[in-house]
Amino acid sequence: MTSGETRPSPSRWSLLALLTLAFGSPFLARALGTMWGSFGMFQRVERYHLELTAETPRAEETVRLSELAPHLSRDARRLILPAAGHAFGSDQIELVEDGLEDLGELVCKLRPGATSIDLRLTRSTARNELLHRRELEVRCDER
Amino acid sequence: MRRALKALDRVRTGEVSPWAYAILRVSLAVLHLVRSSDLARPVVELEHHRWVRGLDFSWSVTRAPELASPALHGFALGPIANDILVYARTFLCVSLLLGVRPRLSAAAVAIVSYALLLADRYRYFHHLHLLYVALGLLAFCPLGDRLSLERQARLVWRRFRPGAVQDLPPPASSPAWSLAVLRALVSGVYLSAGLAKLEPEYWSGQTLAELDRIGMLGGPAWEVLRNAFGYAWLARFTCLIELALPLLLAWKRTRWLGVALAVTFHLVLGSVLAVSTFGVTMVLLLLSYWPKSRPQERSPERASAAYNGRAG
Repeated sequence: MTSGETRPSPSRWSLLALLTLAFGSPFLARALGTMWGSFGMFQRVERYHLELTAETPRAEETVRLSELAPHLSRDARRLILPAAGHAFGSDQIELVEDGLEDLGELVCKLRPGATSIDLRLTRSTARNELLHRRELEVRCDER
Repeated sequence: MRRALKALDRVRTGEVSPWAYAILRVSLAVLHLVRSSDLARPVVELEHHRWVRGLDFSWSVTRAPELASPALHGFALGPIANDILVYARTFLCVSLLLGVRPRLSAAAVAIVSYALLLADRYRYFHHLHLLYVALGLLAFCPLGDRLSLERQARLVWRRFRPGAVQDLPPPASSPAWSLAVLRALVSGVYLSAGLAKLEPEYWSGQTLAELDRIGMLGGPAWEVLRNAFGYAWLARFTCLIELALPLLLAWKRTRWLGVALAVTFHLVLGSVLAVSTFGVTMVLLLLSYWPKSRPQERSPERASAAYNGRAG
């Protein structure tokens, strides 16, 4: 169909559903607590820092984020690698936090001797006041 | 309730110039091609050129094993599937630009682009989400009434084929209801962005001060605005403009003011903050406020189709 001449108008309810979907999807995202599609842009600035530790039967080894670089996509590198220091960010820190388990699984593959990987993400205000700390243990032997 | 239903019926049966859809289609397709590649690099240096080389989202992992972190569980793509989708996205963008199966192309380019976004959570940006949703909604629009290669090819084909039935001339107007759906998106985006800024941290100007400190805000316009108003008032202006725009745009009498304010807002924002294609997409979506055609501008063939019960 390339022109509108024979296209019927939608029913009242179909149109209302489309209008509601187009207007309401950002509010649905906000209600669900996700920044994905919420358009809450630049509402705050945060700092984030990520530490990874591989537990082996003998010792605990710190995993440098730069070791992961060749195994990350360009977009993942842009968000994950700066977290070795104290990176600044906004909405996209949520992407890093949501992806911690996947990151742990990658480190399990890179450290075959590891029994588990500990991931610690610290989120703080731009003035370095702690907002939130997320700690996650990914067990390697279950994979 | 009756008034609301009447208003809904006016939206359903209104007509608008087909140029509104044609310009939206061409400009959004060009924007997507520019944003998803570095095609424009020889002409102009754009923000995304800092990280995009060739086609955006092309496979970029250099050593196995790769991090698989899809936004949708189990939706990670391998290198071959990923690159096939990247090429398909580019092909569909060109097809949308030329007006070849435009509605199908719009739907497909939105789906393929979103699939690429979902395959790696770190690819997400608000401006990409907005662009893909806008393209998805274009699939509900009559896109081929003007600037359509497919329509032109059909006309030429019929002209040279002996005994072929003459094609109908392009309609003088197109249904306006699809533009109303795009307007709903525009209003939702402004309102949601404005509501998100009603937090004490933003309202007090602290966020703008931090953005300034880490170098995300800059340029001559920013210097002038900051010195004239300070962080707190600039934050309040931004929030209030975003909250006011849906109201100004909704009311016919203030619509011109709403469009002018929105365009100025995006021009200023784009000059002080790195927002990539967000502002351009929003300005293009303001084309959905193209005024409706008067009833006498209805094309004869549409009027006849409506009379025969073929069109609403």
